[in-house]
Amino acid sequence: MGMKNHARAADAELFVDGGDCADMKALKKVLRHHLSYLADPKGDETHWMISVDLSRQHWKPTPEEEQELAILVNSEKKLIWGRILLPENERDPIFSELEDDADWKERFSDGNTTLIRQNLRSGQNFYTRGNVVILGDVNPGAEVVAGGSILVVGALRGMAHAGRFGDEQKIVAALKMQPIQIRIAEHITRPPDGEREERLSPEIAKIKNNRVIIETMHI
Amino acid sequence: MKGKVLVVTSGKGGVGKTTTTANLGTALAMKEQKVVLVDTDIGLRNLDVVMGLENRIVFDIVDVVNGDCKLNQALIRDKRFEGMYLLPAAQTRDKTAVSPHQMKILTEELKKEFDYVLIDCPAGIERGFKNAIAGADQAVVVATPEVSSIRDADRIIGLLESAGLKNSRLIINRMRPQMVHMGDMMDIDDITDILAIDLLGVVPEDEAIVVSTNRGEPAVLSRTSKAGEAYLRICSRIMGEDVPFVPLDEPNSFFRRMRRAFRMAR
Repeated sequence: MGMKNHARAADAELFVDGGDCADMKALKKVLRHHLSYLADPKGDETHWMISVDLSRQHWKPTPEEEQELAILVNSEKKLIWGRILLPENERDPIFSELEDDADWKERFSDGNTTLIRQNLRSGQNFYTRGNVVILGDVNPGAEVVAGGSILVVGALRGMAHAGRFGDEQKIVAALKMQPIQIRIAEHITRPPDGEREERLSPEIAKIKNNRVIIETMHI
Repeated sequence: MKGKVLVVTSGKGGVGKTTTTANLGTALAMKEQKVVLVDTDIGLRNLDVVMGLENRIVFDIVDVVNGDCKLNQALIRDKRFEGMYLLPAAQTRDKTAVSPHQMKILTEELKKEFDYVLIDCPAGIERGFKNAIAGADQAVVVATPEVSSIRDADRIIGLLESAGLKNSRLIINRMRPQMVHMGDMMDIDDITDILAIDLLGVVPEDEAIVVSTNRGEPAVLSRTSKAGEAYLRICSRIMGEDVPFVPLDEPNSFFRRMRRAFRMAR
């Protein structure tokens, strides 16, 4: 398991709007052009993040095409993070009184896990392709985005996105679950407006029956 | 002499950075410390007004870093305390008139002469902020008990940490015990829970501040101001004294606990 101590955010972002491209072929051409620009070896240490917005074009890519784009976007080594933005489906999470019945530790089994030993404060973002464990709080205005699962050993008060490449098996777990938003794969949820009674036990957010559900975490 | 450089910052505007700088500076001077207040809010200077020294400005910080005058020509001696000086900001220029590097050199110079160098930081996180923190040894973060102010303070603490300024300390300003009591305002625990830095003190909302600011007489000089008293205690803590925290309100009532159970939006 690979371990790193420092949160690394991208230095610059490249944005590609699918709405500007007539079809999939045109989009791929634009992407390849940008990627070849990134590949230009000038000893430049910039860490790029590339976002492809697929929510505004007239044509709809097939799931295979989406997959293909995701691979293409993540092919360049200088990219710290590549992502595909799809039309999102937003629904309220279900707060369950039940205890998580699966073993959440299993959700951290594959991929590298990054360890962050600091609080993530407003404006500090962290992106990783693997899993991430944060020994500290994630405050409002901070974002954690992971290809894998996220465990916050502290309070999650900001935004956490697990399974960014579409894996619905990934989870977000926190000792204190008070998020502004939780996203898992393509699902976006936010706690209902207004008050929610503070829960003392750690909680876990996961996808069950195509919805984000929040359960008590069994340690 | 090797003094300490403290930057007073907040991110959000209007939370009381300048008032805090003026009062802490004056309180330190009352305790016979040699102190200089540096206004880095170039283009929007205020500290001179709050200190009542507006009419004595001849040179300013931009003149100093450009070499148009000597440092001691620009330093204005306070009319009340021998050991307190003000280095005013320029009013006609903008923040780019000074660089972080120049600020570092300037604060090194001031440290040789003074026990405390207090830097009044402008609002925002751009050049003015970078200038203000460039030569600082430690930061005092001012926040009011409002969600937006706490959010900005959190961002500032993150930026301070990445600039190598650890151990920032917090002043909660304009606290209204009555509102906290009713559950209508964030309380100290709510705030320190999120920001997770040491608390230097809590200053209650006090109408006397408005009067003192307009008169150019920092509130610590008044014997009756509650805010002034709070600043005096904070000053002692800055000097390393162990001053107990005085509760601002009565002990937790059942009613308040109930309200807290249904928390305000974060």
